[in-house]
Amino acid sequence: MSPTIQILLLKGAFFAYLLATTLSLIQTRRPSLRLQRITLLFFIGAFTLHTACLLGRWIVAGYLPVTNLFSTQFFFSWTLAATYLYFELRYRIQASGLFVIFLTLLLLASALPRDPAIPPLIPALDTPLFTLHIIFSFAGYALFAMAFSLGVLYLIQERLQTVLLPNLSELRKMNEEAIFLGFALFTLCMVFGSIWAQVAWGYYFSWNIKSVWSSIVWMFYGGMCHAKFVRRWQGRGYAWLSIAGFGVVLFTYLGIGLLMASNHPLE
Amino acid sequence: MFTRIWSWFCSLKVAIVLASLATAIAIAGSLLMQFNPQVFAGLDNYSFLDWQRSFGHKAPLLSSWFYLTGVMVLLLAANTLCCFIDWLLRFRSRWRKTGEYLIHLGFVLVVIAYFWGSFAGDRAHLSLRTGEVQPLPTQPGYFLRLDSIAPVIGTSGRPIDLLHNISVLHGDSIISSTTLHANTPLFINDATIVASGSDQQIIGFNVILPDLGYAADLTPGAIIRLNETTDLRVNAIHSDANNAYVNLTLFIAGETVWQGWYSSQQPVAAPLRQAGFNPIIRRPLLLATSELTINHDPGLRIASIGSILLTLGVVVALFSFYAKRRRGDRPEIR
Ligand code: HEM
Repeated sequence: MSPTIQILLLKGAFFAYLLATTLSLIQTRRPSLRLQRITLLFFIGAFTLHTACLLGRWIVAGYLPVTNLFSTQFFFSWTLAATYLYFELRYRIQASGLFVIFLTLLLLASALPRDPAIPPLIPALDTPLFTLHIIFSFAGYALFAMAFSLGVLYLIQERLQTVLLPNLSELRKMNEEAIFLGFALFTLCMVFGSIWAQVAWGYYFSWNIKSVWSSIVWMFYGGMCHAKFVRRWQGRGYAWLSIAGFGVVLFTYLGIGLLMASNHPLE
Repeated sequence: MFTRIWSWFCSLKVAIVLASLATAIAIAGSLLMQFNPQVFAGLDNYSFLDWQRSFGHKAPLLSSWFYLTGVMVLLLAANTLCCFIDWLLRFRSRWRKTGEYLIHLGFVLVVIAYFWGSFAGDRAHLSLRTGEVQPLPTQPGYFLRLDSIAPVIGTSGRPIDLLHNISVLHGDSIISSTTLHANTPLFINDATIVASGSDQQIIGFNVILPDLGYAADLTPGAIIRLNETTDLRVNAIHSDANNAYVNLTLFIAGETVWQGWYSSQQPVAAPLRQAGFNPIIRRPLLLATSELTINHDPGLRIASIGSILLTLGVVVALFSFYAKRRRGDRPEIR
């Protein structure tokens, strides 16, 4: 797949997401079943273009390209969109998931001006362990982003009690699901990352800031899988925990790469 | 009494407190770690006990977070193990939670393995020259021989990887030959051997001897015939940035007549000069060396079992999560 086609697909996906988002927002003012269906079709269309571009790049490269900033932004935006679509198809969350779609748009918009060229794969990254590690980490992060957005909406809904948002019980249920799925996938990210570290360096846990923070993320969401059983942390507490947890995720993904030297630089 | 203590050990609230404490301490500690590499950079290169002896105990205040986190994680693992045992005792009524509890057991095993490896393990480094055989640290009876090193050239023309061809010997016999390179270590028992780099060592000098009209390699042990009765033996070599040094013994008719150092920056000693030894150094003789990291981790097998259980547990728990939902079995707001 030539870079021109990739950019075309990417632009197509971006504008289709944008249109679907706009339609979603319009619906918060004028709810209509027909508009809802059209919006969903646009989301599915956008995601199909996005997926086609991802598959095309994968086939051209011969490996899942996630080795430079463009590729990681692109792949992360895809996992976010996939997460949104999962919740939309399962629960019809519509505008409630828009934070995740905003993130998708933001990532795509910042990826678009960059060079989509796929760098040659260096032997250190030429292992399925790396690919699995990245896939599960971004999948986990995307679900944590969804949990963050559901947490914020829970707090808003508690105040506003509006029909525009799902009810509190629904929001709580979806949030718990996002946290559980995120934790499960992030566990796999940690497992594959550790095996990779073992074969690359000879030890499965490295004492650098990124590894320590990944363990913190894992521990935090592991804790959250239990907090839902504790009365005090149910509902509002859970919403706040989802927000705090996403802060930890953001620091792990962006903060360390931007602020400090580590063995996981962004580019 | 016993039941009360047991239920405290199995308490979910205790688990949440411990996990929160471990997380909070690790957040603060990770920043201390980042900004004090003089204390913490060695953590990956040494076994825990060696690190503790060389760095940790010299900076007790800075490293206290490290021990505290360790204690919290250990307590959390003990707590998780109690929960797991408690579940096992009621397996008949709670088998539906198998996925979740495999995750719990996986975590316990990985923690036990990590602590065991940290205390009983060892990390060593080995420089192995081409052709050289050396005993494998931490694995008595095993020896490694470096057969050759070859670079892998990328499409840009630059080397992107190094292939270290190694033979493993047990006693006198070769038991395997293997190539170490990126993401391809060698496992011997519970040791993981990784090629962490390569170097070149000067093992001698190639010289021209104009008075005699030929060239020679000055390497330790070499004997150079200067004339029918005179021999020169190379005992040792040494070099620094500007100088080459060669320790020599001069024999005439089998008798030692002189012994000392030849240096490339100084006049040749009279007995050597008279015997016709006035060398011009052409080039150093280099031998490729593999830098190997040998991590002996007795907990590695347990950690592997732990990670398999974690993976299995996640897969099963993903199914049972939705099964529970379908049954309407989820915590309600009370
Ligand atoms: C870091 C260690 C731990 C991890 C990674 C972990 C992970 C998990 C996960 C993923 C679940 C499933 C939650 C869900 O259904 O959404 C769970 C449930 C549970 N965990 Fe843990 N856990 C840990 C430690 C503990 C400890 C120490 C205890 C006991 C005090 C415990 C007790 C429980 C209980 C009782 C459940 C509920 C199972 C159910 O009824 O569905 N866990 N844990």
